[in-house]
Amino acid sequence: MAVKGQRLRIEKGEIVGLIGPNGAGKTTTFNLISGLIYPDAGAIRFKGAEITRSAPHVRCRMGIGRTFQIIQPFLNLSVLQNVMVGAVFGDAGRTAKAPGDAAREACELVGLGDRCRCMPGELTAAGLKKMELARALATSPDLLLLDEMMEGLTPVESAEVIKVIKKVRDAGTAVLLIEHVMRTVRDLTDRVVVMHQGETLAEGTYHEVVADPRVIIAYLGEEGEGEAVGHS
Amino acid sequence: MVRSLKTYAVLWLPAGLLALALAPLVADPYQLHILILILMSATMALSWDLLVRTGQLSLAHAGFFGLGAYAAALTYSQLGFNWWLSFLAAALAGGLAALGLGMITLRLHGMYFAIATLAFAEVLRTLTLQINFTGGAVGVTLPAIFGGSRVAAYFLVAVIFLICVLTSVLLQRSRWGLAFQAIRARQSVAEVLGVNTIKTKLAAFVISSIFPSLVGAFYIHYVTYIIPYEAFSLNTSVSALVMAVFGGIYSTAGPVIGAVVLKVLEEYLKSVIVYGYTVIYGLILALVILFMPNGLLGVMRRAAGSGRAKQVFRWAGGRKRAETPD
Amino acid sequence: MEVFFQALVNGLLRSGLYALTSIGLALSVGVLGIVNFAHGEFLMLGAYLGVFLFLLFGLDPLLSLPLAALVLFLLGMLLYRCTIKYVLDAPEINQMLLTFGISVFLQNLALILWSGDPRAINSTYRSVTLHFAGVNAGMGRFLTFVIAFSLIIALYLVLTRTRAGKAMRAVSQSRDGAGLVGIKVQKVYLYTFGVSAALAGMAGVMLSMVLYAQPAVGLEFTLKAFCIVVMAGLGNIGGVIWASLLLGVTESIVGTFIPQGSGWSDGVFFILILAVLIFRSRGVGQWFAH
Repeated sequence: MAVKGQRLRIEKGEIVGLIGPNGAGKTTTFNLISGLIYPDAGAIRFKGAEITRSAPHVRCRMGIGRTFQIIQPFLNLSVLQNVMVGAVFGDAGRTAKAPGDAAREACELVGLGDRCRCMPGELTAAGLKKMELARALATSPDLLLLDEMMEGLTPVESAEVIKVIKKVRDAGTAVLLIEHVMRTVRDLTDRVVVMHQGETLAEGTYHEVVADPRVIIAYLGEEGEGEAVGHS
Repeated sequence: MVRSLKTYAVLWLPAGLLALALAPLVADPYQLHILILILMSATMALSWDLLVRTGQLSLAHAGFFGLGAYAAALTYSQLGFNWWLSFLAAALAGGLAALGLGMITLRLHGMYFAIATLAFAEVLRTLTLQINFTGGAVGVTLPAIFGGSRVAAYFLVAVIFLICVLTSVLLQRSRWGLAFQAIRARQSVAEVLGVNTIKTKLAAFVISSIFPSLVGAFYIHYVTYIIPYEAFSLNTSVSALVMAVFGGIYSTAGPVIGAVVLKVLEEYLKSVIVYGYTVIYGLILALVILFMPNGLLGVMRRAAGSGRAKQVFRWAGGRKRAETPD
Repeated sequence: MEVFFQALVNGLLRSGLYALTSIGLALSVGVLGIVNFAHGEFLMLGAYLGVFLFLLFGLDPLLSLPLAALVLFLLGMLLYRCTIKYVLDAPEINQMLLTFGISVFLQNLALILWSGDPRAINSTYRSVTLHFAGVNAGMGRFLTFVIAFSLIIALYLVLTRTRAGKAMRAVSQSRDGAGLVGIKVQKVYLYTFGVSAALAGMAGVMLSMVLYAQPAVGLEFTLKAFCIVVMAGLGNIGGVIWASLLLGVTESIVGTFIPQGSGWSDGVFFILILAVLIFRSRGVGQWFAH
C-alpha cells in the first residue's frame, strides 16, 4: 500500500506544497487525485462532488489539471497542438474561449509564444517543462497539480515559472505542488504538507514544518536526501 | 515543402474523382475487375489505418470482412433482404462485433487488443466451419448483384471507397484527429488532459470495422460465393495492413497509394506463385518497419523537402488553418 | 468415468507442448518486452527440421532435440541481431508489425518450399501405446510431456540458480537498473531470444513426432501461447504451467464430450482469452490496467 490514511484539504486560491522524502507517496497521491489509480478505500471529493471512481478525463473536465514529473510530450504534434489537446478536451467549453485562442494564450503565458510552432523534440528541458505547464493550464483547471516543476531549471528559469504559478493562483486556481527545491516551497506556498511512508506526517506553514522534529528525522533518516530541510 | 505536396493534393482530388467516374468507359472488363479489386483493397487498407491512428493494431480486419460477407449472404438468402438491406446488416454486424470486442479489450494494453483481434478472426473461421447454418466448409453462394453488371458493381464499390476516404479526411481534420494522435503518442497523458480515450478508441474501432464489413458484403454479392477459409483468411488482414504501412501509415493518401501499388503487384505474383504469394507481404512489412517506417508517403515527403523528417500529419493543416481551429 | 479420465490424461499430455512453447514466449515478452508474433514459427521450423532429419538421416526425433535446439538458438539470435534489436526502442506497434511481418514471411516461405501437406515423423513413438490405471497414453505424447516439463524445470533452475538466469530476471524487471549494475543488457536480450526460439524449436520437433509439421502450425501455437501467457499474467512463469494445463485439459474435454467436439476445441483458447480479458478489465484498482 503506497499511501494510506491521507487526509488532504485544499482551498481555492491556495498554494500548498507537498514535500517528503523519496517514496513517501507524493506522486501516488497525485495519481489518486488525477484518477490514474483508484483508492482501495476512502473517498475523494472535488468541488463538493464525489469523484472517487471517476475516470481521469472526467476529473480533468471538472477542473483538475496536472503535470508529470517526467515530461511526456506528444512527439508527433507541435507545441501548440500539444497545448491544444488540453484546450479542446480538458476545457471542453467550460470557458467561453475558442480552443485555438486558449492554447495560444497558455503558450504566451509560460513564455513559449514564439516557439509554439516547433516540435517538442526541438525544445530545451526548460521549454518542455513550460509546455507541460501550458498544456495543463489550457484545461482551465481549478486545481493544478504540479509534479516537480523546478527540477533541472536554472534560477532564472525557476523564477519565470514561479511568476506564472503566482499569476495562476491570483486568477483563483488552487495549486498543489510536489517539490524538492526548498527555496521554491518557502517562497511560494501558503501551507505545506509533509508526507512520509504514505501518510501525512505534518502540516503547517513552511517555517512551522521545517522546525518540526519529526520532519527533520524523516528527512535525515533517509539515505542520500539531497535537500535536507532547513537548507534553502 | 509540405505546402507544395498539399497543393498537388488539391489538384489530385478532382482529377482522381474524374478518373474514377470515367474509368468504366475506357477500361475493358478485365481491367475493370482489377480496378474493383483495387478499390476494395484500398478501402480495407484505409479503414485499417483509421484504427491504427489511435495506436491500436488490429488483426481482425479479415474477421469483419468475413462477418460482413456472411451477414449479407445469410440475410439476403435466408431472410429475403434486398441487396442494400443486406449491406446494412453487414455493417451492423461488424459494428456490433467491434463494439463488443472493443469494450472487453480496449481498457487493456495494446498487446492484448492485438492478440484478441487475431484470435477473433481465427475463431470466426472455426465457427463458420462448424455451424451448418452457415453452410459449413462449403460456404455460401449468392446470385450476382445488379444482374452481373460489372459497371454497376464498380460504381457501388467506388461509392463505398469514397465514403471511406471522406470519413478518413474528416476524422483527420477534426478534433477526433487530434485526439487520435494524442492517444497514439501517450494515452495516459491524453486522458489526464481531458480526452475520453476509451470512448475515442472504441469509436475508432467501430467506425474502422464497418468498412471491411461492407467490403465483405460487396465481395459476396460480386464474386457470388465464399468459403470460410477464404472469408476469414489471415491474408486479408495482412494485405490490408501491409498496404497501409507500405503506403504511409496514419494518413489518407498512404493506404490508398499502398493499395494501388501492392494490389497490382499481388495480382502479378498470384499468377507466378499460386500458394504463398503473401510471402512478399511479410517481407515488405518487415523491411518497411526497419528501413522506411513512414512508408512511401514518408519517402515522398522527405524528397519534397519537408523540414519535418519525422512523420507528422498536422491537425488543422499548416499555418493558415491553425488560426481558425474547429 | 473412464472416458473422463482418458480425456483428462489426453489433456495433460497436450499441455506439455503448450507449456514448452509458452515458456519461450513468456521469456521473450518478459525479458525483452516484445510481443513476438513470430514465436510460433520457431516451433514450425523445429517441426520441419525434425521431419527432415528423420527422413534424410533416420535420426530419432529425441536425438534431434538438441540439434533443433542449437539450430533454433542460432536462428533466434540471428533474427534478433538483424531485426528485433532495432525496434526495441521504437513504439510498440512497430515491434508488433515487424514480428508479424516476419511471421507471415516465414509461414509462407514454408508453404512455398514444402507445400501445405502435413509432414510427420513416423517413428515407433507414434505406434506404441502405454496402458496404466485404465487409461491409454501414446508413447510419443507421454515422452513429450515428460521432456517438456523436465525442460521447464531445468529452465526454472537456470533462472533461479545461475548468474545468467538472474541476469535475465534482473533485465526483465528493470532494463536500466540491470545496466547500472553491470549486466550487459544487449547480450541478455540476444541470448534470451535465442533460448526462447530454442525452446519453441524443441517443442516443434516433438510436435512432428506426435502430430505433424505444417506451415500453419506456427500461427496456431502462437495464438495459444499468447493465450496462456495472457492467462498467466505477464512475467509469471509458474502461472504458465497452470494455464497450459488448463488449456490442454479444457480442449481435451471439449473435444471428447461435445458433439463435433474436435472442431470446437480449436476455439477453446479464444473463450479462455476473452474470459481472462473480461475479468481483467473489470477494474483492478486502476483506470487503465496493464
